[in-house]
Amino acid sequence: MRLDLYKIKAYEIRKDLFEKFYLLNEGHPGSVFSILDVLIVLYYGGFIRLKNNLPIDDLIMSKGHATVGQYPILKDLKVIKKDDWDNWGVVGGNKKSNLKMFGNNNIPGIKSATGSLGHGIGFATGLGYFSKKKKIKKNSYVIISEGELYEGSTWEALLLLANLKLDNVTIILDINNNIILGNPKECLNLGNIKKKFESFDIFTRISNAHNFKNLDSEFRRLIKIKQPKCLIVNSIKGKGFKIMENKAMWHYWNPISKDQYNKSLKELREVYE
Amino acid sequence: MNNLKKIFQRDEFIKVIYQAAKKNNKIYFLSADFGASALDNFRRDLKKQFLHLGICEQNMIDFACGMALEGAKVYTYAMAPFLSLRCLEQHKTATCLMNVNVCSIVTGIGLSYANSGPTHYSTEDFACLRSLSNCEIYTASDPDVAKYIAKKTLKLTTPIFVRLDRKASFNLSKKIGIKDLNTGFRYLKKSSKKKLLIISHGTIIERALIAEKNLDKKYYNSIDIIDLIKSKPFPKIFKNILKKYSKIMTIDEQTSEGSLGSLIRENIDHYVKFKSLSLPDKFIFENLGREKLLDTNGLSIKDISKEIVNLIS
Repeated sequence: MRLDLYKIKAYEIRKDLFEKFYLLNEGHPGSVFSILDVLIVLYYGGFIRLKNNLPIDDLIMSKGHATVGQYPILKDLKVIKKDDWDNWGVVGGNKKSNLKMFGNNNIPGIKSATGSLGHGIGFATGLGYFSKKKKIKKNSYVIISEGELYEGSTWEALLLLANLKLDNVTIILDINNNIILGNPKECLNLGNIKKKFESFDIFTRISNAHNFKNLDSEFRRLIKIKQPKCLIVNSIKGKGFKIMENKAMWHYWNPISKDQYNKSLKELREVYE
Repeated sequence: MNNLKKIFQRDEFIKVIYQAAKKNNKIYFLSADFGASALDNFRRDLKKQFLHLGICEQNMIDFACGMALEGAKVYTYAMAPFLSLRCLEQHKTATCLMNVNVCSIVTGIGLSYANSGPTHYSTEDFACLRSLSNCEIYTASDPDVAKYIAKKTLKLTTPIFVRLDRKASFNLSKKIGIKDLNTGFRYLKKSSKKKLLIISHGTIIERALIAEKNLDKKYYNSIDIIDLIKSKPFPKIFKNILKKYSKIMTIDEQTSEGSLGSLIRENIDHYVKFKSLSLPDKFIFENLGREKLLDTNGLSIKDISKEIVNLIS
């Protein structure tokens, strides 16, 4: 039942986002679509709980250019106003929207401003630490990219996270094998990432980033683990659209014809039928 | 100089935060392996509100930001060059971009750490920090000022940078008041002729006061001296003060680009004769002690006196 919901939402949200990117003619679709299925599971699987139309649990999108992926989900969950989403990018008339291409903490449901790499785990550690101090039972999920493993601040934060033994912080490491100049393995090899994380006392698992069954069961497993944890998810950059899958140039949106637009939406429908 | 004992600015600052933290368990103090005798009391009595973050200034700021996003009031504390430049991007992306309540106590500005070499000098922190949006910046010229700045920070909700000196010093003769913190500056000397305004901040202002005192008596009633405590946002009322003067001098223990001199120039829109005294645009490798380094790098009392006379004559 839940798996069916994930599939339906994965299609609807992807379609919403693709249409919006096309309308705006800008954005970071590759990064958004690689992590979208993880977002679907977190939000619709009850891992990020809501109360009074606001999230109880936190999500830090450390790979900040993918924050836009949260918007249509938050709209669907009534955290972001429907008008804000519908009006975003619509030119003329009185159509106004508070949404921005670059997410920030003034947008409902968006906990932090991000974009520059290597900050998210530090933020999440601070959040997790102080919410424990306040005896608030909630979880902080932080999504980082493999590119962030090159930033020293990421490792500084892991050291602290492990020392504080925060079991309310879950790192999701999106590995889509794409940084600007190619595959990280051919640029500066990151080595055995799982082993490195485990050496910091971070309980670490690996999952396919687009297999809902795997993702769901891994997050259910992790929520019971009483130490800091990480789920490494192997993803496809631009997942869901043949035009952009695993293509570095689709880190940014590229102008496409109406025919390409229609064809992409048709292909998307076929994937999820 | 009006008290008998030299006091550390940092101790005065931390004592205030300690007292406030005893009553407010949302106040946290984070240190990147940096101490003070007043901090020993904090660590002993308020263990749950103190964290040693390792020698890790970048992560300290991100962590503090996360805590502040959750409602904590966080003080971060480290040596000036590392709590300013080392983690400048964290200040930008974390505290300032999100406009959260983190106060960074940037300790040992200027040539405070003269015995530790150019990596430990903090002679460009002012230029870097003041380029960040959303923050407030305060600089202490004596221990009492540090104490009053601390009181002020307890009421603020923005990102804050407090620039403190390393050395213990006497309080300056003019007593600070909370009103001075609210206006953002205080007159240390007022004249009737108002021929020249000297603006400074930090302990280098001591040299301005001595230089002015050493001048020929004919200049005595011509020079005003202001201690600019708050430099960001630039105090509105101070803009009007500047308009009263046709000759202005700034003295700052920073390299010139982006220093106090630059700040004042940016806020003057009338014709003035202007002189900015600061450190030269170079790295200093000599180990002469702070006073001698200042003496040999354009900020000796003799240099300051000479420039005052040049400007006022």
